[in-house]
Amino acid sequence: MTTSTRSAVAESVTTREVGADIRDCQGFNDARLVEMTREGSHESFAELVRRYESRLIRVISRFILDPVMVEDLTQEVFLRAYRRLELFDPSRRFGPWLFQIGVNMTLDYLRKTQRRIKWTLFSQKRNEDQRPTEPATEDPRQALDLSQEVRLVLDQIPEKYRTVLVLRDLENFSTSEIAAITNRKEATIRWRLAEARAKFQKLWTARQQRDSIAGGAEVDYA
Amino acid sequence: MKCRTARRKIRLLVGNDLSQNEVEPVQEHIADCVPCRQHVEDLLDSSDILITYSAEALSQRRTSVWESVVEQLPPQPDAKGATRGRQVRQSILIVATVVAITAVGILPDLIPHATSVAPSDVQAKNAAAGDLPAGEYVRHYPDESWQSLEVLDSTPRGNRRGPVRNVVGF
Repeated sequence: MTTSTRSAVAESVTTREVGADIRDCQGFNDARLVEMTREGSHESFAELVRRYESRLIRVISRFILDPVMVEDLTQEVFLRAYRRLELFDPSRRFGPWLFQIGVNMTLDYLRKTQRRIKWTLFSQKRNEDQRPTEPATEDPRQALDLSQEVRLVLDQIPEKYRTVLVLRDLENFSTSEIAAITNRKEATIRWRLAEARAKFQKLWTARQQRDSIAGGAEVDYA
Repeated sequence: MKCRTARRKIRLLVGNDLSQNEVEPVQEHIADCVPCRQHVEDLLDSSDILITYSAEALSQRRTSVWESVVEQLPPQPDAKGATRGRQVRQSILIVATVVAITAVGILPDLIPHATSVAPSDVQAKNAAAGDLPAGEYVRHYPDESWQSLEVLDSTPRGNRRGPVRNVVGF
């Protein structure tokens, strides 16, 4: 086969793939879909979105409660991934790269929100001294389900440990995948994971003991 | 193994995050150390909580986010349109080639003065002429006049056209 014939065949194949239907894209691996997306195919990117959106939504939901915000953030993650696709190294896996964008954007959003809340609280303290302050302790009569309890405990864990704990113990990413997502060494991830589990266990035990003292009965979730 | 080291490894052991060769020394330590055994129990309890929490159904979207994402993407190059354009160009090229070949084929018939000369005729006439140097090509015209052309082998390609234009009969 001559060079011109080979290039013509390759061109016709590429043209067929760029204009391919979504059903045609399902057989391709991530690397090929990324390549086709770079060539301008929307359907191949649609297939990538459909492959990863459920898990991405789950991961973001572990950090953010508001479902509308989770959806907005998921869209933003895919859009940013699309815009940065030229920077993606094809020798790496697409999934961890996508989740790296997702986790970073989620944590950025949380940091901004927390800064805003702190500023609001600070402003309220300065400007509204007459307002009655909220009770320092929570009302023990307020019943919380397991999800709320776990969320409250997770929120008390520092971000770098919480991220690793959520990705490993809630979303079952491997430590090597977490290392790729967080752009840290695997040894660092293992260290943080051990710390995170110890912190969660201490906080959870303390909370259960406080609840059992306040409620007079121990709650057994397990 | 010291308890401090063992506990760090125990926190990985409860999530199956230790390699095979790391597990055995930790298990030996746990078997001999009551406080570390208690630490394992506590960690397993909190780990069970996380597993239960993890299994709880999160609110799942029924529709894909793709519809919202695609609205914000740049327009896709029209692959079908590009293919159609390429096909049209190829068709035009084929038609033009056929027309050119046909024109070349019928051109001698349309021009009464131009007749093709077979190589054998050229050699015969060449031999008959006698006075022409070997290696030259000649063309026979209806009025029986012979004109010598340039020696193709010795003339640079770019210069061939010049002398040919000056030959009578062209």
